[in-house]
Amino acid sequence: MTFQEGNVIRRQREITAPEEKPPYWKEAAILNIQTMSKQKVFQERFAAGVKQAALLAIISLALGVSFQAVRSDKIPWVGSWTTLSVTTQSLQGVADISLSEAFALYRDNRAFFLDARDPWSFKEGHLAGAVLIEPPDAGKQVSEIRKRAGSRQIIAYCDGAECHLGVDLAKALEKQGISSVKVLINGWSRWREAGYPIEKGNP
Amino acid sequence: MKTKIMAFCSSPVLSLAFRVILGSLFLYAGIAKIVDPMGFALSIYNYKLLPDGLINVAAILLPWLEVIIGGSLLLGIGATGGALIATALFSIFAGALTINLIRGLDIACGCFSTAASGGSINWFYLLRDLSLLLMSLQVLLFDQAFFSVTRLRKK
Repeated sequence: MTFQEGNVIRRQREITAPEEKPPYWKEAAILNIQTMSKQKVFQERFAAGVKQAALLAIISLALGVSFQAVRSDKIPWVGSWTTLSVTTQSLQGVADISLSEAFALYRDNRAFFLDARDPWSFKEGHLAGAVLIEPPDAGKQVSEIRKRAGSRQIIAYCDGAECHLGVDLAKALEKQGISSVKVLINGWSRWREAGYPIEKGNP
Repeated sequence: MKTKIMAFCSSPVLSLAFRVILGSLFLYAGIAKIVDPMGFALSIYNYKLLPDGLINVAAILLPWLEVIIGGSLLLGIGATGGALIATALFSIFAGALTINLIRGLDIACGCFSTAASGGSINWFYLLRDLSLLLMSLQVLLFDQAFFSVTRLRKK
Protein backbone atom coordinates (compact mmCIF):
# COMPACT_ATOMS: atom_id res chain seq x y z
CA MET A 1 0.00 0.00 0.00
CA THR A 2 1.42 3.36 -0.93
CA PHE A 3 1.39 6.28 1.41
CA GLN A 4 -1.33 7.98 -0.61
CA GLU A 5 -3.56 4.91 -0.57
CA GLY A 6 -3.17 4.72 3.19
CA ASN A 7 -4.21 8.34 3.48
CA VAL A 8 -7.34 7.73 1.43
CA ILE A 9 -8.34 4.79 3.58
CA ARG A 10 -7.72 6.76 6.71
CA ARG A 11 -9.89 9.59 5.46
CA GLN A 12 -12.67 7.21 4.52
CA ARG A 13 -12.51 5.69 7.96
CA GLU A 14 -12.83 9.12 9.46
CA ILE A 15 -15.92 9.76 7.43
CA THR A 16 -17.60 6.40 7.96
CA ALA A 17 -16.58 5.71 11.56
CA PRO A 18 -19.49 6.28 13.87
CA GLU A 19 -18.98 9.50 15.75
CA GLU A 20 -18.01 8.79 19.31
CA LYS A 21 -20.42 10.54 21.57
CA PRO A 22 -18.89 12.13 24.65
CA PRO A 23 -20.42 11.01 27.92
CA TYR A 24 -23.46 13.01 28.84
CA TRP A 25 -21.78 15.12 31.47
CA LYS A 26 -18.94 16.13 29.15
CA GLU A 27 -21.37 16.83 26.39
CA ALA A 28 -23.29 19.09 28.65
CA ALA A 29 -20.15 20.95 29.67
CA ILE A 30 -19.01 21.37 26.06
CA LEU A 31 -22.42 22.55 25.04
CA ASN A 32 -22.43 24.88 27.95
CA ILE A 33 -19.13 26.52 27.03
CA GLN A 34 -19.97 26.65 23.34
CA THR A 35 -23.24 28.37 23.85
CA MET A 36 -22.58 30.39 26.94
CA SER A 37 -22.34 33.61 25.07
CA LYS A 38 -25.62 33.01 23.39
CA GLN A 39 -28.28 35.03 25.00
CA LYS A 40 -31.01 32.81 23.65
CA VAL A 41 -29.93 29.78 25.63
CA PHE A 42 -30.15 31.74 28.82
CA GLN A 43 -33.49 33.11 27.84
CA GLU A 44 -34.81 29.61 27.27
CA ARG A 45 -33.27 28.46 30.49
CA PHE A 46 -34.90 31.31 32.34
CA ALA A 47 -38.27 30.60 30.77
CA ALA A 48 -38.05 26.96 31.82
CA GLY A 49 -36.97 28.09 35.29
CA VAL A 50 -39.99 30.35 35.64
CA LYS A 51 -42.30 27.47 34.72
CA GLN A 52 -40.60 25.15 37.19
CA ALA A 53 -40.65 27.81 39.87
CA ALA A 54 -44.38 28.34 39.39
CA LEU A 55 -44.96 24.60 39.71
CA LEU A 56 -42.81 24.35 42.84
CA ALA A 57 -44.65 27.32 44.35
CA ILE A 58 -48.02 25.71 43.67
CA ILE A 59 -46.89 22.45 45.24
CA SER A 60 -45.65 24.22 48.36
CA LEU A 61 -48.84 26.25 48.58
CA ALA A 62 -50.91 23.06 48.37
CA LEU A 63 -48.77 21.32 50.97
CA GLY A 64 -48.79 24.32 53.29
CA VAL A 65 -52.55 24.73 53.09
CA SER A 66 -53.26 21.02 53.59
CA PHE A 67 -50.86 20.71 56.50
CA GLN A 68 -52.39 23.79 58.08
CA ALA A 69 -55.80 22.12 57.78
CA VAL A 70 -54.75 18.98 59.65
CA ARG A 71 -52.16 20.06 62.19
CA SER A 72 -53.35 20.40 65.75
CA ASP A 73 -50.92 23.04 67.02
CA LYS A 74 -51.56 25.48 64.21
CA ILE A 75 -51.58 29.23 64.36
CA PRO A 76 -54.48 31.19 62.81
CA TRP A 77 -54.07 32.51 59.26
CA VAL A 78 -54.43 36.01 60.59
CA GLY A 79 -52.97 36.59 64.02
CA SER A 80 -53.39 39.46 66.39
CA TRP A 81 -50.16 41.38 66.55
CA THR A 82 -50.88 44.04 69.11
CA THR A 83 -48.05 44.89 71.47
CA LEU A 84 -49.81 43.17 74.36
CA SER A 85 -50.34 39.87 72.56
CA VAL A 86 -46.78 39.90 71.29
CA THR A 87 -45.45 40.47 74.76
CA THR A 88 -47.58 37.69 76.16
CA GLN A 89 -46.39 35.32 73.45
CA SER A 90 -42.79 36.29 73.88
CA LEU A 91 -43.01 35.56 77.61
CA GLN A 92 -43.05 31.88 76.67
CA GLY A 93 -44.65 30.87 79.93
CA VAL A 94 -42.43 32.97 82.19
CA ALA A 95 -44.36 35.07 84.72
CA ASP A 96 -44.19 38.83 84.43
CA ILE A 97 -44.52 41.41 87.14
CA SER A 98 -46.13 44.81 86.91
CA LEU A 99 -44.11 47.97 87.41
CA SER A 100 -45.96 49.00 90.55
CA GLU A 101 -45.59 45.56 92.08
CA ALA A 102 -41.89 45.54 91.29
CA PHE A 103 -41.44 48.96 92.82
CA ALA A 104 -43.36 47.96 95.96
CA LEU A 105 -41.05 44.97 96.39
CA TYR A 106 -38.01 47.18 95.78
CA ARG A 107 -39.15 49.68 98.40
CA ASP A 108 -39.47 46.92 100.98
CA ASN A 109 -36.08 45.57 99.95
CA ARG A 110 -37.71 42.36 98.78
CA ALA A 111 -36.68 42.61 95.13
CA PHE A 112 -33.42 41.50 93.51
CA PHE A 113 -33.05 42.90 90.00
CA LEU A 114 -31.09 41.20 87.27
CA ASP A 115 -30.15 43.30 84.27
CA ALA A 116 -30.13 41.07 81.19
CA ARG A 117 -28.83 43.73 78.80
CA ASP A 118 -25.28 44.36 77.65
CA PRO A 119 -22.50 45.86 79.80
CA TRP A 120 -22.55 49.20 77.94
CA SER A 121 -26.23 49.80 78.53
CA PHE A 122 -25.74 48.73 82.14
CA LYS A 123 -22.92 51.21 82.59
CA GLU A 124 -25.02 54.03 81.21
CA GLY A 125 -27.73 53.35 83.73
CA HIS A 126 -29.62 50.58 85.47
CA LEU A 127 -32.17 49.96 88.17
CA ALA A 128 -30.73 50.75 91.59
CA GLY A 129 -29.10 47.68 93.05
CA ALA A 130 -29.42 45.63 89.86
CA VAL A 131 -26.79 43.07 88.91
CA LEU A 132 -25.71 42.55 85.33
CA ILE A 133 -26.19 38.98 84.14
CA GLU A 134 -26.15 38.30 80.44
CA PRO A 135 -28.36 35.29 79.65
CA PRO A 136 -25.50 33.13 78.26
CA ASP A 137 -23.55 33.65 81.51
CA ALA A 138 -26.46 32.71 83.75
CA GLY A 139 -25.23 29.18 84.29
CA LYS A 140 -21.87 30.28 85.68
CA GLN A 141 -23.33 32.62 88.24
CA VAL A 142 -26.17 30.59 89.62
CA SER A 143 -24.72 30.08 93.10
CA GLU A 144 -23.81 33.74 93.42
CA ILE A 145 -27.24 34.85 92.31
CA ARG A 146 -28.83 32.50 94.79
CA LYS A 147 -26.61 33.78 97.61
CA ARG A 148 -27.14 37.45 96.87
CA ALA A 149 -30.87 37.17 96.24
CA GLY A 150 -31.59 35.34 99.47
CA SER A 151 -35.30 35.30 100.03
CA ARG A 152 -35.91 38.27 97.75
CA GLN A 153 -37.97 38.04 94.57
CA ILE A 154 -35.66 37.80 91.55
CA ILE A 155 -36.80 40.09 88.74
CA ALA A 156 -35.10 40.05 85.35
CA TYR A 157 -35.46 42.95 82.97
CA CYS A 158 -34.35 44.25 79.63
CA ASP A 159 -35.24 47.34 77.63
CA GLY A 160 -37.95 47.67 74.98
CA ALA A 161 -41.24 45.80 74.84
CA GLU A 162 -39.86 43.27 72.43
CA CYS A 163 -36.52 42.59 74.05
CA HIS A 164 -36.42 38.91 74.87
CA LEU A 165 -33.28 38.92 77.01
CA GLY A 166 -35.19 39.19 80.28
CA VAL A 167 -37.25 36.15 79.34
CA ASP A 168 -34.14 34.33 78.15
CA LEU A 169 -32.44 35.00 81.47
CA ALA A 170 -35.44 33.82 83.47
CA LYS A 171 -35.58 30.64 81.42
CA ALA A 172 -31.86 30.03 81.72
CA LEU A 173 -32.08 30.38 85.50
CA GLU A 174 -35.10 28.11 85.59
CA LYS A 175 -32.99 25.46 83.88
CA GLN A 176 -30.40 25.86 86.60
CA GLY A 177 -32.98 25.33 89.32
CA ILE A 178 -33.87 28.92 90.18
CA SER A 179 -37.55 29.03 89.40
CA SER A 180 -40.05 31.77 90.20
CA VAL A 181 -37.95 34.40 88.42
CA LYS A 182 -40.25 37.11 87.14
CA VAL A 183 -39.77 39.41 84.19
CA LEU A 184 -40.33 43.14 84.22
CA ILE A 185 -41.24 43.81 80.60
CA ASN A 186 -39.51 46.85 79.08
CA GLY A 187 -38.04 47.25 82.55
CA TRP A 188 -35.35 49.88 82.09
CA SER A 189 -37.45 52.41 80.14
CA ARG A 190 -40.53 52.07 82.31
CA TRP A 191 -38.58 52.22 85.57
CA ARG A 192 -36.63 55.29 84.49
CA GLU A 193 -39.68 57.07 83.10
CA ALA A 194 -41.53 56.45 86.35
CA GLY A 195 -38.72 58.30 88.12
CA TYR A 196 -37.72 55.37 90.32
CA PRO A 197 -34.16 55.11 91.65
CA ILE A 198 -31.47 54.32 89.12
CA GLU A 199 -27.70 54.01 89.22
CA LYS A 200 -24.83 54.44 86.82
CA GLY A 201 -21.50 52.71 86.68
CA ASN A 202 -19.64 49.54 86.01
CA PRO A 203 -21.07 46.14 86.84
CA MET B 1 -6.54 32.93 33.05
CA LYS B 2 -9.78 34.77 32.58
CA THR B 3 -11.33 31.91 30.68
CA LYS B 4 -10.15 29.49 33.36
CA ILE B 5 -11.90 31.49 36.05
CA MET B 6 -14.97 31.73 33.85
CA ALA B 7 -14.94 27.98 33.23
CA PHE B 8 -14.61 27.34 36.95
CA CYS B 9 -17.42 29.69 37.86
CA SER B 10 -19.72 28.15 35.30
CA SER B 11 -18.66 24.60 36.10
CA PRO B 12 -21.55 22.18 36.42
CA VAL B 13 -19.66 20.35 39.17
CA LEU B 14 -19.68 23.54 41.19
CA SER B 15 -23.41 23.76 40.53
CA LEU B 16 -23.85 20.29 41.93
CA ALA B 17 -21.95 21.22 45.08
CA PHE B 18 -24.01 24.39 45.50
CA ARG B 19 -27.21 22.47 44.91
CA VAL B 20 -26.34 20.06 47.69
CA ILE B 21 -25.39 22.88 50.08
CA LEU B 22 -28.43 25.02 49.32
CA GLY B 23 -30.80 22.06 49.23
CA SER B 24 -29.72 20.78 52.63
CA LEU B 25 -29.86 24.26 54.16
CA PHE B 26 -33.35 24.92 52.84
CA LEU B 27 -34.62 21.55 54.04
CA TYR B 28 -33.17 22.14 57.48
CA ALA B 29 -34.41 25.71 57.76
CA GLY B 30 -37.85 24.85 56.43
CA ILE B 31 -38.43 21.94 58.77
CA ALA B 32 -37.26 23.93 61.80
CA LYS B 33 -39.85 26.57 60.93
CA ILE B 34 -42.67 24.14 60.22
CA VAL B 35 -42.17 22.68 63.68
CA ASP B 36 -42.55 26.07 65.36
CA PRO B 37 -44.85 28.36 63.33
CA MET B 38 -45.48 30.68 66.27
CA GLY B 39 -41.79 31.26 66.83
CA PHE B 40 -41.25 31.96 63.15
CA ALA B 41 -44.25 34.32 63.06
CA LEU B 42 -42.71 36.22 65.97
CA SER B 43 -39.41 36.44 64.07
CA ILE B 44 -41.21 37.87 61.05
CA TYR B 45 -43.14 40.28 63.25
CA ASN B 46 -39.92 41.52 64.79
CA TYR B 47 -38.57 42.49 61.39
CA LYS B 48 -41.39 45.06 61.22
CA LEU B 49 -41.71 44.84 57.46
CA LEU B 50 -44.88 42.87 56.72
CA PRO B 51 -48.36 44.17 57.54
CA ASP B 52 -49.86 42.36 60.55
CA GLY B 53 -52.41 40.53 58.41
CA LEU B 54 -49.72 38.81 56.36
CA ILE B 55 -47.36 37.73 59.13
CA ASN B 56 -49.06 34.44 59.91
CA VAL B 57 -49.71 33.67 56.25
CA ALA B 58 -46.00 34.02 55.56
CA ALA B 59 -45.11 32.02 58.67
CA ILE B 60 -47.37 29.17 57.56
CA LEU B 61 -46.47 29.05 53.86
CA LEU B 62 -42.86 30.19 53.54
CA PRO B 63 -41.37 27.16 55.38
CA TRP B 64 -43.09 24.83 52.91
CA LEU B 65 -41.67 26.75 50.00
CA GLU B 66 -38.24 26.34 51.58
CA VAL B 67 -38.71 22.61 52.03
CA ILE B 68 -39.94 22.15 48.46
CA ILE B 69 -37.12 24.10 46.83
CA GLY B 70 -34.70 22.35 49.18
CA GLY B 71 -35.88 19.01 47.84
CA SER B 72 -35.89 20.35 44.28
CA LEU B 73 -32.27 21.50 44.50
CA LEU B 74 -31.04 18.42 46.32
CA LEU B 75 -32.72 15.92 44.00
CA GLY B 76 -32.40 18.04 40.89
CA ILE B 77 -36.07 18.09 40.04
CA GLY B 78 -36.79 21.40 38.40
CA ALA B 79 -33.62 22.70 39.99
CA THR B 80 -33.52 25.77 37.76
CA GLY B 81 -36.90 26.77 39.12
CA GLY B 82 -35.73 25.98 42.65
CA ALA B 83 -32.68 28.14 42.14
CA LEU B 84 -34.84 30.93 40.76
CA ILE B 85 -37.02 30.93 43.87
CA ALA B 86 -33.94 30.62 46.08
CA THR B 87 -32.38 33.63 44.39
CA ALA B 88 -35.57 35.61 44.92
CA LEU B 89 -35.81 34.55 48.57
CA PHE B 90 -32.18 35.39 49.33
CA SER B 91 -32.64 38.79 47.70
CA ILE B 92 -35.70 39.44 49.86
CA PHE B 93 -33.87 38.27 52.99
CA ALA B 94 -30.91 40.49 52.11
CA GLY B 95 -33.24 43.46 51.81
CA ALA B 96 -34.97 42.68 55.09
CA LEU B 97 -31.66 42.22 56.89
CA THR B 98 -30.17 45.40 55.46
CA ILE B 99 -33.20 47.50 56.40
CA ASN B 100 -33.13 46.26 59.97
CA LEU B 101 -29.37 46.50 60.32
CA ILE B 102 -29.64 50.14 59.27
CA ARG B 103 -32.59 50.66 61.59
CA GLY B 104 -30.47 49.08 64.30
CA LEU B 105 -33.24 46.78 65.51
CA ASP B 106 -32.02 44.21 68.00
CA ILE B 107 -33.80 41.14 66.64
CA ALA B 108 -33.11 37.46 66.11
CA CYS B 109 -32.38 36.40 62.55
CA GLY B 110 -35.01 33.66 62.38
CA CYS B 111 -33.03 32.23 59.49
CA PHE B 112 -32.21 28.67 60.46
CA SER B 113 -33.91 28.51 63.82
CA THR B 114 -36.92 30.17 65.34
CA ALA B 115 -35.35 30.65 68.77
CA ALA B 116 -35.57 34.24 69.95
CA SER B 117 -32.29 33.72 71.78
CA GLY B 118 -30.42 32.88 68.60
CA GLY B 119 -28.43 36.08 68.82
CA SER B 120 -29.10 39.41 67.19
CA ILE B 121 -28.62 40.06 63.53
CA ASN B 122 -25.36 41.65 62.44
CA TRP B 123 -23.53 42.24 59.17
CA PHE B 124 -22.23 38.69 59.21
CA TYR B 125 -25.77 37.46 58.61
CA LEU B 126 -26.02 39.68 55.57
CA LEU B 127 -22.68 38.41 54.27
CA ARG B 128 -23.83 34.84 54.74
CA ASP B 129 -27.07 35.58 52.93
CA LEU B 130 -25.22 37.20 50.04
CA SER B 131 -22.89 34.20 49.68
CA LEU B 132 -25.91 31.94 49.47
CA LEU B 133 -27.44 34.34 46.97
CA LEU B 134 -24.36 33.97 44.75
CA MET B 135 -24.54 30.19 45.03
CA SER B 136 -28.17 30.13 43.96
CA LEU B 137 -27.38 32.46 41.07
CA GLN B 138 -24.66 30.10 39.90
CA VAL B 139 -27.08 27.18 40.01
CA LEU B 140 -29.71 29.23 38.23
CA LEU B 141 -27.33 30.11 35.38
CA PHE B 142 -25.09 27.07 34.97
CA ASP B 143 -26.58 23.97 36.56
CA GLN B 144 -26.45 20.95 34.27
CA ALA B 145 -28.43 18.67 36.52
CA PHE B 146 -25.62 16.30 37.51
CA PHE B 147 -26.82 13.43 39.67
CA SER B 148 -30.35 14.62 39.29
CA VAL B 149 -33.50 12.56 39.28
CA THR B 150 -34.46 14.15 35.97
CA ARG B 151 -31.20 13.00 34.37
CA LEU B 152 -31.34 9.50 35.83
CA ARG B 153 -34.79 8.98 34.44
CA LYS B 154 -33.70 10.06 30.97
CA LYS B 155 -30.76 7.67 30.89
